[in-house]
This record gives sequence, structure tokens and C-alpha cells, in this order.
Amino acid sequence: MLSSPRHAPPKRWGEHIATLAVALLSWGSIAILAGIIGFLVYRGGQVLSWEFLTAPMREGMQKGGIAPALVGSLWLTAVAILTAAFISTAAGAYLSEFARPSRFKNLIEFLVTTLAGIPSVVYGLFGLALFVTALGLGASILAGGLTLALLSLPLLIRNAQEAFAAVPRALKEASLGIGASEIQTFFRITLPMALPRILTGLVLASGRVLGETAPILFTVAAYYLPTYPHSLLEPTMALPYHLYVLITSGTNIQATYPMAFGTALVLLLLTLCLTGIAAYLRYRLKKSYRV
Amino acid sequence: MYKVEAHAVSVWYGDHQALYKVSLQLERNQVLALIGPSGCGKSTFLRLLNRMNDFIPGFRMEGKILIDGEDIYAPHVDPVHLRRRVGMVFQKPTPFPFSIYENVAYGLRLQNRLKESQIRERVEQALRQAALWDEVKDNLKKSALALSGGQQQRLCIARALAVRPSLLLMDEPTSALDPISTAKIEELIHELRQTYTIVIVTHNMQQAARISDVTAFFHMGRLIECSRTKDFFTNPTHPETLRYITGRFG
Repeated sequence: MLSSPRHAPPKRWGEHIATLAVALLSWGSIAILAGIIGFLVYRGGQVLSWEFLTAPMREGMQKGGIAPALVGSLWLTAVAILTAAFISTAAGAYLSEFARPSRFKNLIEFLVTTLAGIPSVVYGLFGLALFVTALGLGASILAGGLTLALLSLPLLIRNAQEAFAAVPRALKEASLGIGASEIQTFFRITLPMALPRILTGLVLASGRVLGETAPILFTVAAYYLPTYPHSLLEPTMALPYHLYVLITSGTNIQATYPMAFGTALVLLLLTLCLTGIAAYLRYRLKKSYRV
Repeated sequence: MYKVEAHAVSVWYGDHQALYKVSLQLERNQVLALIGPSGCGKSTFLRLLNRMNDFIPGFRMEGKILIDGEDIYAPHVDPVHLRRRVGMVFQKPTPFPFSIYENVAYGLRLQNRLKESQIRERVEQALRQAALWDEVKDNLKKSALALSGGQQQRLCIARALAVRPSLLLMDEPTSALDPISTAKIEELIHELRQTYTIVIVTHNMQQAARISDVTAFFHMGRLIECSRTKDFFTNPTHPETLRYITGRFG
């Protein structure tokens, strides 16, 4: 925030009102956010327990925990992010470091931007058609994870591209000037220096993937399956869809309502954890970029 | 045989012509200073010598450049190998975010499989040549980013020397440094000319006069004058050179 100098000229009325409005709006949005978190902590905290996190659901999902959905969500996120990490880093490297300016490159960049704007339910439908049906994976963790990977690719490719472009040109030239090939320069200088940014993007993307409901709806998520998956080719429960089920389509919605708040709280805490990790990576990045 | 020969070299970036039929020769173990106002083509010429312009989209060249009698733009020449024979030091110090030791070893680890003991030897030798050894010998594992600007630039010189080039290119190596660090680098260039041939771009005419054997003056993409530094500054043959060195433009 700007602090006003000691002998600031007298403010006009319009300025006072504008300052007040901006302050109110920013405090208001913080208050709304705090309200949401507080509400979830209050309602969800009542059912949150060790059992809630580690036990399967029972008695028509009114009792027990959410462990199968929690484990399923972690599997889905892991498959999605690991897949997307390789593809997006390679694609970002190509666009930033290796592709010469051309119509083809512009076309790819345009497509990446467009893909970022497609609604997630469309990705779900595409995943159903491609992974579940055409490739015969069935409703499985692999199919759902790959669909989530597709969903997160556009933003991750953009992020990787920007991370590589942010490595100072002077350092890449210095490496080339010593007699490193372009590939050597990429693996020894550009990639290590871009890695913190790329990792930050991946962590933020896992937060988003964790909470996505639409793409897993047709590709993996089970309504009720209180067991743990033995392979990637099995369907599983997942936190966001479980939350939806608890609120809209349980056998006794009144009774499953508190469980829904607990599930929402767990989702929120997981996302906050991931955002925290991303913030820490950004802080480390700032410290290491002193060139 | 000359160390460096340029024959009627013209360069284009897209539609823009950056150099017009530049020809010059440089003998072994001499220091050539390239001077001229911003955008005159002196950096373009320097970067021709290790083919760094190859990376710029739209770059095109005519004419010939020979180093040790070999046409470095001939189709069979691998620019990566060329750059191991022609070292380069840039305007701003460009230490990698590694330790001091790993910075100097960088070029050695890229190529022939040297043993770690040989690498250690070459690192020490390069740091001594760059007059940095005494200041860093106890801190080789320390991050290169913790060095001062002048030390970083000498580290970059050591890094370039470690792969044993025979020609050293310097692109305004002291323009980002304070006067004391500048004096150290100039002293170093004086030492290095015993072993190396050096081409240096500089904005500073006093510096060109102090450190070079031959001076070349570029203006608007043309080589206006190239002569022994002594003659260049005391008795320029071209009126434009006289106007430039007396500070009437540039």
C-alpha cells in the first residue's frame, strides 16, 4: 500500500470516496473468503476426525469416513499431474526454445490458448469418448487421470513456456558461447533454472485437478465403492463427486449433510496445502534468481 | 597466415543490412579493438567470429571469414566445435548459478571425458590466467553469484579460457564494471595477449588506445578505418574517424 508523504496536499472529496470504496471492496472480498473458510471449518469441523480421514463410509454414507474417496482423488491427481508434467514441459520447451517463428508455431499457440477456455465438462465427454470407449480403458483411474491431464495441459504448457523464456538470454548465450550445443544448454542451464517455476505451476494445477468434478463424472468416479483401488484400471470414488453425491443423491440427504461439509473441508485443506507449497516454491525461486 | 581474415563480409537481419562489405586481417597474438557508435555493426562483426548470429532469425551473410585459414561458414564446419576454439566474454558478467569451480569446469564437462583430477588442474590454471585464483582458491565451492561484479567477469574469462580457445572475443567486457575492476581486466588483457589473439568491442576510446594493437572504426555498417592503434589515434586517415575520436559525434 502507498503511504502518503508527510506534507501531502489536501485530498479532494472524490479522492476520499474513491479510496474508501477501494478499501471497502478489498476488505469485503477478504471478509467473504474468510467467511467461507470459517463456515466450512465450523460445519465441517464437527465431523472431522481421524476416523473420518481413514475409514470407509458405512450405513448409507451417513457414518464412517471418506478414505476411499480421498485415496481415489490422490491417485487421480497423481496420474494427471505426472502425465501432464512430461507433456507440458516438453511442449513448453519446444515452443519457447526450439521452434523457430512460423505459422505452425503461431497455430499451436493459438490452439493452446483456445483449449484453456473449453468448459471442463467438454473434456469429460472427450475423455469418455477417447479413453473410456475408443481406447477401451473403461471407467478407470487411468481414463479419469488422463482426462484431467488433458484439462490441465493448456495452462501448464503456457506456464512451462513462460518459465523457459524467463531464463536470462545472456546465460543461454554464455553456455552456447563456450561450445555447448543447444540441447546441452537446455538440459544444463535452461531446464534447471526454469524448474522452480514449472514445479510451482504443477503444484497449483494439482490443486485445480483435485477439485474438478465434471471431467471425472463420466470417466472414473463411482457413486459408492468403499474399497481401495488395486490397479489403475479400476474405477474409484473421488472427493468432489462424493461431495456432490452426499448433497444431492444420497439415500438420506438430511443425514449425509454433515458428512458433506466434512468432505468440503478436507478438499479445502488439501487445496490450501498445495497453494502453500506453491507459495514456498515461489519464495525459493525469488532467492535463487539473483543473476 | 593471419589469425582472422574477413573478405567483403555483408550481413542482413531480414531486410535490414547491418554490415557492408567489411574486410580486415588480424595477426596472431594481437589485440583488435572494434569501436564506433551504437548500432554501427561492431557487435555484429564480433559475433560473426563464433557464429553467434546464427541464432538470430532472419540472419544472412555474404563474403568469407577465415580463422587460421579455415572458412568458418563452410558447410562442413560445426559451429559447436568452432565455439570451443573461439571463446567469448559478454557485456554483463554471466556466471551460472553454480559454484565457482563448476562454472569454470562447465566447458570441460561438455566435451572430451577428462578425469576429475585433470579438470581440477585446468580449473586452477584458468583461474590463475584470469587473475582470480588468489581471491577464490579457498572458496571454490561457494556460489559464483556471491562474487563481486568484477570478480564475476574475471570468472567468465576463466570459464572461456578453460576450454583452451586460441581466439578470445570480448563484447564490451568492462562496461558494467567500476574503474578498479576495469583496470584489472585491462591488465589481464595485456597478459593474455601473450597466448591469445583477442578481439574486443569497446565504447571507450581511451580503453581501445590503452589495450589494443589494431583499432577498427565502424560507422553505419561500414568499416571506415582499420590501422595500427598508434597511427589510428594520432594520425587518422579518414575525416570521419577524426570527427569520431575528437568527440564530434557518436
